[in-house]
This record gives sequence, C-alpha cells and structure tokens, in this order.
Amino acid sequence: MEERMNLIELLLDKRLEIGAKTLEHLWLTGISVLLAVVIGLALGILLSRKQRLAAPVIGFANVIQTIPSIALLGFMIPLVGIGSTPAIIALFLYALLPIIRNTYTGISDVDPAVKEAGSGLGMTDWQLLRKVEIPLALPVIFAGIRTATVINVGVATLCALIAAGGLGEFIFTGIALNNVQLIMLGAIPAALLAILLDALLGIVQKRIREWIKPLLILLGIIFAAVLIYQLLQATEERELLAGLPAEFMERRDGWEGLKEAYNLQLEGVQMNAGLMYDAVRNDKVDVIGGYSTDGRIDAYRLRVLEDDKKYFPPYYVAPLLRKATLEKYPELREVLNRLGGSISDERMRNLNYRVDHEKKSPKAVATEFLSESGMKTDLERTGKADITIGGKNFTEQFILAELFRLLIENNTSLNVELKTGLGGTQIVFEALLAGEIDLYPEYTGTGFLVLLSPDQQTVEDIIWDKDAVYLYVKENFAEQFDLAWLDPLGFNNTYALMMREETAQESGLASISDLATYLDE
Amino acid sequence: MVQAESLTKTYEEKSVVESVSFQVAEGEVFVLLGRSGCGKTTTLKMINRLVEPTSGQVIINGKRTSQQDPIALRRNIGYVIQENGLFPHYTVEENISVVPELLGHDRDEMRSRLPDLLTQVGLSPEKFIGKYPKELSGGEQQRVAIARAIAARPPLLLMDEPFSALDPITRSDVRTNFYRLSKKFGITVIMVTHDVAEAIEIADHICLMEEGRILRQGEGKDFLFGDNNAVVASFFDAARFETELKVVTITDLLSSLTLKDEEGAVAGEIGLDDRLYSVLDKFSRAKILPLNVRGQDGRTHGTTTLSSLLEAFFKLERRRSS
Ligand SMILES: Nc1ncnc2c1ncn2[C@@H]1O[C@H](COP(=O)(O)OP(=O)(O)O)[C@@H](O)[C@H]1O
Ligand SMILES: [Mg+2]
Repeated sequence: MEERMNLIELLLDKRLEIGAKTLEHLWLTGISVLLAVVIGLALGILLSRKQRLAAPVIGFANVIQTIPSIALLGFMIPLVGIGSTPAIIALFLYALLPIIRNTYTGISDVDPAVKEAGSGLGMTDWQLLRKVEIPLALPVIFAGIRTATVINVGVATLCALIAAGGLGEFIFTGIALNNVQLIMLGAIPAALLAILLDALLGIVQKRIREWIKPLLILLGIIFAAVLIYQLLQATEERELLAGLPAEFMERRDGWEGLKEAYNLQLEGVQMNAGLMYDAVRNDKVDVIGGYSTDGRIDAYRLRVLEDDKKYFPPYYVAPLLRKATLEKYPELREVLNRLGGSISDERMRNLNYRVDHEKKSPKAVATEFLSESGMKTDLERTGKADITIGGKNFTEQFILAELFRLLIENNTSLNVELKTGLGGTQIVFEALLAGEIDLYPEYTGTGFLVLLSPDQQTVEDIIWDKDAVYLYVKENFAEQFDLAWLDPLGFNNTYALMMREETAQESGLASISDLATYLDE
Repeated sequence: MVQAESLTKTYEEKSVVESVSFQVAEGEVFVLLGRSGCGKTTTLKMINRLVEPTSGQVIINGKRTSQQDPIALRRNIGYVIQENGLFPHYTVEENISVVPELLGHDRDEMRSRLPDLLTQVGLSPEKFIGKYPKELSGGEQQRVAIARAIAARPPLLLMDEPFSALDPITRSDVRTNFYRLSKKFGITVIMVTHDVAEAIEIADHICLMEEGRILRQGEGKDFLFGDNNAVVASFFDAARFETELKVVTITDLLSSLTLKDEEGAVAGEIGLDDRLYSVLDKFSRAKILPLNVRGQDGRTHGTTTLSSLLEAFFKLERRRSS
C-alpha cells in the first residue's frame, strides 16, 4: 500500500518530466512510422507490380525485423552517431516490414475479378492502382501502419540507450538502480501510449476510406513542418557533449556531484554503457563517464582525465561472500585471497582489452592470467554445483567471476556454477542476500556509497582513504548483512571521465579541471 | 464488324487456342460455346487485348486492334464477366459512370442518363442508384455490370459467361432482359458460354470450340437439325430434347402441321415466331383447347392444339435422325 502511495506521489512529482518524455517518445514513434509509411507504401506498390521482387525484398525486411533492437541501435552509432537520428532510422527500419507486407498483400489480395473488370473497361495500370487497388487495400495497409506504430512505441523505449530520450530513460535508470517505481514511471505511460494509439488508429482504420483525404493533407502539413524544423536545427552547431550511463547519471557519486565539484558546464545525455564507448570513438559524443580499467580505453585510444580534485571515491574490487558459505567451505578464504593485490590497474585494463578488443572469451583470458601467474588451471569440474558465483553485466565482472571459478575448482574439491551478466549492482546484491548466489566481485566504493549509504559526515570523513573505506565496508557488511569482504585484488576501478586521445591532445586537456576551464571559455 | 483471323495463343509450348477464325456481323449475338477449358475466355480476351495473341489478328471495323492503343480500344468495347467484377467501394452510380468518366464524358449528361439505363436493365433507379454492390442480389449485381458495360454506348460488347453464376430463374430473367436490350440498341455481342441451351436461345451465330479449335460454326438450328458429325452431335445430345424445344419456332413446325379453322373457345393466341418451349410452358393447362396462330401482320392463320404441335415436333425429329 505504501509502495502504491509512493508511486502516485512520484508520478505527480515528476509529471512535467513524464510529459516531456512522453512527447519525445511520441515524436520518435510518429516520425519513424511516417517515414516508413512513405517508403513502405512505395515499396509495397512496386512489389505488387514486380512480383518477382516480392520474396527478396520482404525477406530482407524480415531479416531486419529479427535483428535485436539493441544491436540495430549499435550498428547505427558508427554510421550516424547517437541521439534521435539513429533512433529514428532504427525505428523506421522496424516499421518498414509490416507496412511493406500489408501494402503488398493488400493489393495482391484484391479480388482478381475486380482487377480484370478494371482493365477490361480500359483503366490504365495507374488508374487501376489509384481508383481500385489502393482504396480496396487501404484497410489492410492501415492495419500494417497500426501494427508498426504499436511495435515502435515498444522499441522506442530502447532508444534511451543511445541518448534519444523518451520514456525508456526512466526504465533504464530504474533498472540500473533497481528502482521499480522509476521503471513504472516509464513503463506505465509507454503501455498507455501503445494502447491509446492502437485504439485511435483502430477507429481511423474503420473509417479510412472516408478519412483518407483529410488525413493525407494533415500528414503533408506535419511533414513539411518537421522538415523545416529539422533544417533550422541542423544549422546550429553542436557544443561539447557527454554520454553517460544511467547509473552514473543518478548515483550519489555521479554526474550531478561531479559537475558541482568541478563547476563543469557540460551537457550530459543518458545512454547505454556499452554503446557509449562506440559513440565517443566515433566522435558522436566528446566525453564519456566510464570505468578506469575498461579495456576499450586502450583499444579505442581514449584518455582518462585525471580526477585532480579526488572527486571519485576508491573502487577497489574484492570477493564479497555470504558468511554462511564461508563457514561451510572455510577453504574458500585462503584460496580466493591468493589473488589479493595481484592485479594492477594496467593489468586489469589489459585483461579487459583482451576480451573487448581481441575478442577472447572471459574464460580464456582468466585462464591465461592464472597460467601467467603460475597457477593451476587445468581442472574443470562438472556436476552439481556447490557454490554459485554471480557477476554484473560488464567485461571485468565476467573475467573476475571466471578467475574465481578457476581458482576454486583447481584448488578445492568444490563445483562452481556461474550466474554472470546480472543487470546492475542492486540486482546482484539482492541475489547474494537471497542466497541465489554465494559470492561476486564487488567494489568498495559501491559497497560504501550505494549499498550502505552512510550519512554525509561519515562519507566526507573517510571517502578519500581507500583503506578506511575497505575497513568500513568490511565491518558494516558483516554486521548488517552477514557478508564477508575478502582481500582486495589490487586495482582501483573507479569512475573516470574520458575523451578521445586526439581531442584531448588538441585542446591540451589532462585533467577534469582542465576540461572545466576549457568549457568555461 | 469483328473479324478474327487465325488467332493462336500458346503458353509455354502449350497451345491453348489454335487458328481460330470467325466473323461477327454488326448487331448480331455471337456465341463462343464449348466445355470448360477449351479456350473460350482466351479467345474473347484476345479481342480486347487483355491477352495478346501469339499469332493471328483481330480486325474491328476494318482496323487491326494490334495497331490501336489497348486502353483506348477497351474503353470502346463493353466487358462483362461471370463474377461481375463490380467495384465494391463504388455505389451503383459510381460503378456505372466509370467508363464515361475514363472517356472524359460530361458528368451531368451521364447522370441524367443513369435512371434510364437502370430502368433498361430492369432496376428501379430510385432504389438502386446509391447502393453498394454488396447490398444487391446476384441478379441485380449482374444487371448493374451490364449497365456499366454499355453505359458509354460501345458498339461492341464482350461477355464471359455473364449469366452462369445466377440461379436458373434469375438467369432466364436477366438473359431475356439483356437480349431485348442488345437488339434494341443494335449492340454487337460476343458472348462466351458453356451452356448449350443458353447458346441456342440467344445466339444468332454459334461457334463451337473444342480443345482450342473451332469444331463448327453456324446458326443454332443447324447444330440441332443439321448434318452434324459425331463430336458435335455428342456435345448437343445431353440437352438435346430441351434445347430443341427451345429453339424450334411455330414456323419451323408448319411443314408438318396442318392448321385448322375451329370456331368457339380458344385457350389463347400464339405467334409464328414463338418458340415451342415457351408455348408449352405458357399453355400447359390448355390441354385440348385450340390456340389461335397469328402471323406478324396480325392475321390469324388458323388454330391448332398443343398435342398437334408436339406431334409435328416429333415428326421433324424423326426426319432429322433418319
Ligand atoms: N495465363 C495462362 N497461362 C497458362 N495457361 C493458361 C493461361 N490462361 C489460360 N490457360 C489455359 O488455357 C486453357 C483455356 O483456358 P480458358 O481460355 O480460360 O478456357 P475456357 O474459358 O474455355 O474455360 C486452360 O487449359 C487454361 O488452363
Ligand atoms: Mg472461361
């Protein structure tokens, strides 16, 4: 009950923001469907004339439809960057199939006797199309448009991942922070929008033959207006832009605090953490908020701007275990601590690089690392799992989980099962509390700021001291959650702002303060 | 008016129509008759170029169709098909106005002619003008299709099994109505059918086809009472009795019939041009009462009875088969 009250309060509180995001959402959906109507209709008509082309073209549109939305958005970045343009193109591609297919089948399914009568009476092909086939196919064509619209309302939520805005922003921030209410804030309006549009278009569909003329005129006007607006927009030059993952946008030690600490006059847009690196590499954003050990820093030739004001807290990684598991298998402590202090920042960045850039599997890289350090790796156990190792959904966590598994399986008699790729800190942590996993690699900064949320004073007192933070989380986790932190592995995977090496060099930027000064001018 | 010269159509080596030639005189009803699949439709469509002949040619009013624009050609030839092909999204009025509009005729003129046209095909204008095809019965739809085909007053009308989808009573109604209409306007009609009785009843000339070729051409009566080969005869045998009754007129029977001159009560009056079938149908209750036989001039030729008429018919039959 309390939850519901909160949700309603939240809805009221954020109503302006919801309204704005809904409009963005509607814009993305509407403009992409409109484009798809123009192109899809033309293609559908062409196919009805050149039947031989039908199978290959519809097949191709079908293939596009099967590309996972997030992948399609990813393909767009190197081609057209981030923001609403690639989002609209991707949505347009999704909307194309139902419209082409329905136009084509709608026209093909017109009673052959009616077509024969038309030609027999002396209609030209164009007259037959305009006076007979299209009017008769119109309800079917419109059903295709309706399907495309409803699909796109759904897919458009994903466009938040490439900084195109829309209701997806609430959803992804909510997922990153495991905040169900925030997810609802995006999901409910999106669902309502889909239902509403479906109903509205359903009404139009029934009347389509009568309404088609005013409808076409209306569409023409909208199109012209959009075109003019876009042309005006295109003449404005882009300022420096930062692409940031949802979690970074919202966290306590994240974006807002950073801007304040450095007095940074930089516009930030929310996007998917994976796509963000491609965006900066392809010059579609200028700054990103990433992690200091990310393999792509080397691979994409990025420069990490020095955190000269020590804004970002330390994020030393260590195995976080359930105490119950440790009591049951005490040998785990000794085995896992063998890794303690053995991985430097550079080393970790390199391991990530091998996966991200050299495309090796996390398992292969973990094995390589252990061999290089002279540890045993040859055993791989099967059978019923004794313990389960979890992990978040980014490269480093995949590698660390594999490392833990190899260590345990080669040095104890325990069977290990992996549950990696879990979506975000809160989700992994709750899985650990619930006993669905027994351990996972966690960062001291995250444990301190996100999971413990100490008062402001405590934060200010110890945040800059990595050992103090470690001790604090170790003690408090044991007390509050019955969880144990083992020895840190050695590297500090903190948040970091990064830029393309060339851009940074050109403007002579080495630290975040440099960037702030540069932006000020 | 229409001449087909050695029309041939082959689809991928398979010959569907093979050197078909015929001539259709102005104002006559010409019927292409044959079993399903024998190439009637293909032949018909070669006339308005919905199908292009592989070889051979069609000449209409002295001009080769191959040298005319097919669209313009079709706009001047009426076309009616079995499934009527009415435009479902158009009202009766809009359907009928299609060709005049394509031809750029005056809209108001067309509108003023519309009631008359509907009346001629046997539909009440007030009731039907604003209706959509799906609100009409099959017979009414086919009447509208005929009205649509002749709306721009084409000199030539092509019809592909126009009555076949109708139930027998409606069919006979629509057909009779159409026959009168075509004669009244002097339209030249080329019609396709597989129904022997229909062909005999309506045709001035019949062209009997089998497997893409012409078996025989001639007047309806020639097929029934003429000197036929076995194939032609077998085609007509199935429906022979009924068909013969339908095609024989009172005049045909006069050679084996002596008219009397009885006074007193008569069952009714018949004309020399009346078909035997319709006489039997109309006076089936007259039994032995005499019928007055009248000529075209209105003069009474004498009296006869139904049984005498039948007797004369069978005499004619016997003469043919011996
Ligand atoms: N477009 C076509 N391609 C191949 N064969 C066809 C085509 N049109 C008709 N045929 C064949 O030609 C023959 C005659 O067809 P049609 O003229 O429609 O006969 P009918 O009208 O006498 O029933 C049939 O065997 C039919 O299958
Ligand atoms: Mg046919």
